[in-house]
Amino acid sequence: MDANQSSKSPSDWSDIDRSYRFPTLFLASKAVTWLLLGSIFSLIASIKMHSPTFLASCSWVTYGTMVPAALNAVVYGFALQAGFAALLWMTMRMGQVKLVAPGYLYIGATLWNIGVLVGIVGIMAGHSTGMAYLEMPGYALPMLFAAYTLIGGIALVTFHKRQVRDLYPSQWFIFAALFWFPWIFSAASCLLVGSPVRGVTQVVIDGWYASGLNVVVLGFIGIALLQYLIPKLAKRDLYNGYLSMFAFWVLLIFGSFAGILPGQTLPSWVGALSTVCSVFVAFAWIVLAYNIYRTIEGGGAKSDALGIKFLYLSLASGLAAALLTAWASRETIAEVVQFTLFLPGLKWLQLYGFVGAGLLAAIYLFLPKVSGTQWSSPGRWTATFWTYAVGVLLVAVAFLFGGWKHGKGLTNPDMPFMDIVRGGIAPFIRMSTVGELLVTIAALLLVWNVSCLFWRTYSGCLLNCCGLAGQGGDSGKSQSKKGSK
Amino acid sequence: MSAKSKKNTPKKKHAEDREPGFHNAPVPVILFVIAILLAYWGMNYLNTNAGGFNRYVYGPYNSYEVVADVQPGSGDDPIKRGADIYRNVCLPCHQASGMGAPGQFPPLAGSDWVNTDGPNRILRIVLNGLNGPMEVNGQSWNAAMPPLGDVIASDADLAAVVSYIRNTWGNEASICTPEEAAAVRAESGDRGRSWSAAELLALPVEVQ
Amino acid sequence: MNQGPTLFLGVLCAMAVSWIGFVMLPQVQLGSQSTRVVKELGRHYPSPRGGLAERGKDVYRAAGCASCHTQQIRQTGFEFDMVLNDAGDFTNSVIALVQQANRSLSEQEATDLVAKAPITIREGVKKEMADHILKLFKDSGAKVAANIRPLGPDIERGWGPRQTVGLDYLYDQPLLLGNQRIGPDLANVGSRLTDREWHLLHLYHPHTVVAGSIMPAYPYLFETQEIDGEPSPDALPLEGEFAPAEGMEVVPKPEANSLVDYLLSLRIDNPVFEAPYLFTQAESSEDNNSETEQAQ
Repeated sequence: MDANQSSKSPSDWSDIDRSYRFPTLFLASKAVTWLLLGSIFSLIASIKMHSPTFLASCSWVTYGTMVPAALNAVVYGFALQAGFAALLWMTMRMGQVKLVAPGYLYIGATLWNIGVLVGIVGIMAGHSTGMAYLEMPGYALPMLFAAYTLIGGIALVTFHKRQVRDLYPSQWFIFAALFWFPWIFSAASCLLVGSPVRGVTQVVIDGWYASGLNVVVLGFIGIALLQYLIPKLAKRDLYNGYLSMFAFWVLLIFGSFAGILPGQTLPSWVGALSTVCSVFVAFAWIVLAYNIYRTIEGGGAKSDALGIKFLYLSLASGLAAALLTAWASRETIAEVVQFTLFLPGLKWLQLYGFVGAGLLAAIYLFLPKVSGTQWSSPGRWTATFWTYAVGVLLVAVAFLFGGWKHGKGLTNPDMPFMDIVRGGIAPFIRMSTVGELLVTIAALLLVWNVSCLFWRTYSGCLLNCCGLAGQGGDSGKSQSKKGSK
Repeated sequence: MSAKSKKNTPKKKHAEDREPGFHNAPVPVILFVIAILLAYWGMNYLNTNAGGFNRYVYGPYNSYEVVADVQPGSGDDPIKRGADIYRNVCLPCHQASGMGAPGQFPPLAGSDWVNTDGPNRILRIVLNGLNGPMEVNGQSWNAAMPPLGDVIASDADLAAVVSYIRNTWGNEASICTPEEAAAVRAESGDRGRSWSAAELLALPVEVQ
Repeated sequence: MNQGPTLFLGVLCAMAVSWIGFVMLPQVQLGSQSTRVVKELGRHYPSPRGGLAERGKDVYRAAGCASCHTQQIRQTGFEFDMVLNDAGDFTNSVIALVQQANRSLSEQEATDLVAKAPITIREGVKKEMADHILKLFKDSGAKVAANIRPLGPDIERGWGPRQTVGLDYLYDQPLLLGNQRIGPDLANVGSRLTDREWHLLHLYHPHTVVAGSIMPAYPYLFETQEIDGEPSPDALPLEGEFAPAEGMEVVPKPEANSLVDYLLSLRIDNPVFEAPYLFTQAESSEDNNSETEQAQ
């Protein structure tokens, strides 16, 4: 049974898109700012690895505070925020419904940003909780949860009020992600930070939370984007909804178990179960990638050359990350790569390569539609793409190969530790610093792009407010905006 | 197949900003074959590598039995080993003389509960604890003994301490073997609550 | 799947499965663990850290040391050393059995070994062979033991005598096990690097004690102050490029001292049920008293 959506002509989208303009621009601009901050923190940490006295005298910027600050800024500040913006847009478009209560969304978004800011400052001040992916101190977490109830609530209500009742596969993924996040976030906050469980149970629950966040929440948002944007740009329909369904259920049931490599201080069943589930997740990814491949197979030019590049980067990174995680979970391999740079390499592929590139594609493609203004400089966007892609791949490859070498050194008891670190991984760390610099530049360009758009969209309004209207071009621009598609 | 996946062109060309639809083509059988093979592999992998989902099995050890078997000193005299464990675990309450404390901890020396033909009931008391009224040598006691299954984690240790209790202070009952301890632990180790005297008296003294 | 309710139920079931698998089951198994009597130590294990070390753990957490250092020792295998403890009465047959157990021994060597009992007669055998050798000696009157020895690169590197297990971290909140080894593992650093001054110098600037180290310096844990008459007894002995200016000295702040106390409290030096190994008398200098009591 073919389920073709009715083809609405572009001019019909404007009222739906417009209902969402300010909150989207707000979410997107804040998200890219956090990406910039996160990549700066990451860069500082990377420089410290080969220049130990760099900024050494301040306790707020030690390596141990910069790494979690960077991770949390990118996950909560950028990925989740841009993810919310993207999934709201997809929900509205696919359901053909206007956003419900945009004002509350704005409040939720503000609260979210305040929460992330408080959290990051808390980490830098030394109040980190010590839990991976949940380092933000306990006092920041309720703010995030409260903000999410607003944002997630609005998303669910909008979903519920949809005009088109048939669900496109991306909507299943979005729906699942919306429910999964508050569940794992509240559970992890209570069991790890609020009223901590005893002993190594913390490690298991932390791993469960990290996998749930990476594979189910962020991963599902990324997959939803891939399955929505790639067919859209290719002007095709998705090849097979049943393949998506299969991948959906496999990833949902097994996704949060994946990723805890065997060899840690846990009973062997935890690592073994995680290995089996990592393999299932990799299989589901292969099915997804096949589905998308068949969708675009033999097709012509895509309607946006740069957008599709972001999406291909996203798809390739996500598939690579899933396959590498499954490969690294095998006991013989895990013995080598456990506790090495290999794991941050996987994280870069997953978070920056897959989710990040997907979200950047979404920002690139939908902000103009929502705001009604085109990007002022496509050239700057091309530069953004290339610096981002090269930077992410450089870091990922440096960490993956360096991590393998690191691991080989660690499994050789005759090799002194200093030799492993100095000779073995130092060149790879230098390569990764270059990559991180490129990513920081990309983030800077991104912030520039989005701010320009923001300014061009609202300059008329702002100047009107400030009584500076009547200056020819500006008011003219705002006039033309109202009538444009 | 590929003709079906090509876009169905409606009367007008697909607009620039068209929402994608999806087909529901039949799923290739190979998907289910691979899925079943993976599930089978997964089960096998868990069988060999998950250590029986036991909380005591870490790393290179394959099962609880292996861990229990490789404990150093497994060949030692069990009575002597039991004495060490008794001193560390039981002595605070039941005293070095095995006489306990009046009104608080029942005696083990000469106790009719200890001098039974088989160690079944004693093993269960040590593993899961005992609560409520009981009669020892004609006297009434009403005390609570905490579960020690986790504290005395190895079956060899458990058998050793029970053997010690049954062969000291004039007690002359049989030695408890690690196999008996393992059997009782397997049956009631995860019970989660203490025994009452009535429940224990309903059980046989021999380990099944 | 067009029904919202169907989707919701499916997601709810998946959540339940996920919760039961990795939250409830570990909590039931591991979260309810309590301290245990370890025979070799004669006391409950683990024991809580002292107050200053607890505060040091806080400094460790705040500085994010877990980003570069793990506190987890891994073990990849195990093997046995066969030890003849007592030759018994029938030495001739025992000599023959020893030769059977270790075919590389000549008769003279085997006789020497039996005379010197207790002594190791064969090293590094796998479990099947160890069981086989134990069965060989079963009715010979001799006492033979199979002493387990953990194997693994971490253990051979000297980072610890055995793998770390859940029981070791019972009192830690939060767990700072780390998952990166940009610096060496610290699970047993309190037994390995016992010099307080080394740790203080290392924290102040790692290059003072480890040339070419990539560990960042932590000077903010220390105070550079003027020498007030006599140099302070806590002042760090810094030389060359690391020495402070003329007339100044570097003393550790309470944070540095507590952090070093924490590091010195990190010890994995006794066997536990999940990670057995042969515990020798010499390893337990503090528990020598309880060891001699057991001899009664």
